[in-house]
Amino acid sequence: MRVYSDITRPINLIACGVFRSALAYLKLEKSHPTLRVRFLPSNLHLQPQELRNTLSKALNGTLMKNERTVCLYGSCFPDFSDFCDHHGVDKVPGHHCFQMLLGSKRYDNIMKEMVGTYFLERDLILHFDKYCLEPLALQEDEIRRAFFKPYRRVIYIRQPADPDLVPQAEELARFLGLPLKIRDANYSYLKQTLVNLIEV
Amino acid sequence: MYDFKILTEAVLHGDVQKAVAETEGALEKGLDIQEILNKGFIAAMDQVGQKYSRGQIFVPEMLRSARAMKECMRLIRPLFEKGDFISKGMVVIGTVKQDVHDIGKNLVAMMLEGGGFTVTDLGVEVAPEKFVHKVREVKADIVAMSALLSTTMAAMRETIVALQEAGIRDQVKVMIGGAPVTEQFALDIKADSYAPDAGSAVIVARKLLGIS
Ligand code: B12
Repeated sequence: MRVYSDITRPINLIACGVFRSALAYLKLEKSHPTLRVRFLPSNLHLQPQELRNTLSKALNGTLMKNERTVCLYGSCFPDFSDFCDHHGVDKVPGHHCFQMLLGSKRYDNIMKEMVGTYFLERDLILHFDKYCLEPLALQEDEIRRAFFKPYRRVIYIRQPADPDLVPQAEELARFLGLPLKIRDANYSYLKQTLVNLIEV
Repeated sequence: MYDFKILTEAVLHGDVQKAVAETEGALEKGLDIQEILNKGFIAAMDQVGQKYSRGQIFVPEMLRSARAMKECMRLIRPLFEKGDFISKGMVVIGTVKQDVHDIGKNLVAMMLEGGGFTVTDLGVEVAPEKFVHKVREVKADIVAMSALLSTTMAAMRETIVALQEAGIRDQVKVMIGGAPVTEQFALDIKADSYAPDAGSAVIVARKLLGIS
């Protein structure tokens, strides 16, 4: 049995919005009643500096109180781990959400199989226009081709509670001119890494 | 004295037609190629880089400016090859293994070329052996590596080790960059230098080779 450092001490989990459905599914608050989850918008990823500033503000808010804070993010801007150390918070290991949803072994295998893989998951599919199409001007053929020239396929990482997003994923893959493959995420890696961190 | 404002503005706004017309005009007037490059393109792309760093423009605007410069470089490149232009050094550039992000790398390659270097672009997903092979083949002065994923930064270290193992590490300077890369990381993996953007990559490359 694990020994909890202080089971009454509140734990703030600050997570990227991309993990919203994963955390709703995992229901960690049931086994960890002091856990409070807060999400930040996932489109901050386009501008790492802005993500850094927003996260910094969110963390400063929690540090004032006697609470433990855990970050559910990849290494989404340079020196993310140093940033967490500096703020005295713990970070879930992992490079980015696609790797965390798949588990690092599966992600590595996919990349070994075909490096030119572009990933889609629920949040990106539902907000592709706002997160990708508009800011990156992908509606312009020339720009879209310049961006996706090295890509060979799209993988939709389907999560357990996803609605049927296959038709939308197919449409996006067609738009990018790439074939679509589907891989199911089972959260085993994500759950394990999260629980390991929460139950210090 | 030639006014480069129209050219720099055209590049800044990604106006290919205007930029090409201005370049043709400047060449017809017999302006020095390096002056056109420095005061026209490099100056414009430096401004583009600064605007990107400040969050005033985003990747598509940067791409449009790069496209304008690229089209103008087509006019200038044949004049390089005529022989009255001395290369500042040989650079081999590529995005490292397992990484296919190439926008930043392409910009750096173009700016280095504009800065007077001869550039061999190996493209994306370049394995350490491939860097080593090319460095040997073209007797490169600088090997420039780009990585945009934190998962692929390790390939920079692997490439440096491969250069060491091939016995050519001391013959070539290693310069690295890309969004997740930092000065500290460059120190950690014993690269010779790091540059945060394409404009400073040219300055750093010149410094590495002792060129003012
Ligand atoms: C545009 C972009 C893309 C485009 C890439 C198009 C292309 N052909 O390159 C698309 C949409 C296709 C894409 C895909 C992916 N991306 Co992306 N992408 C970006 C984004 C938004 C901008 C990168 C960019 O092009 N910037 C513009 C250029 C000009 O800037 P730059 O690359 O930084 O280059 C400058 C400097 O860094 C420097 N530099 C660059 N290289 C070099 C080299 C040398 C030698 C030197 C001296 C300097 C130097 O000079 C350049 C010019 O000034 C970044 C976030 C960000 N803002 O950085 C994420 C980002 C890099 N992507 C990321 C991710 C996760 C992905 C995907 C996995 C997402 C997915 N859905 O599948 C895939 C990659 C899959 C794969 N198989 O590799 C993450 C990486 C996180 C991490 N931990 O590694 C980032 C950081 C977003 C984030 N905050 O999470 N991406």
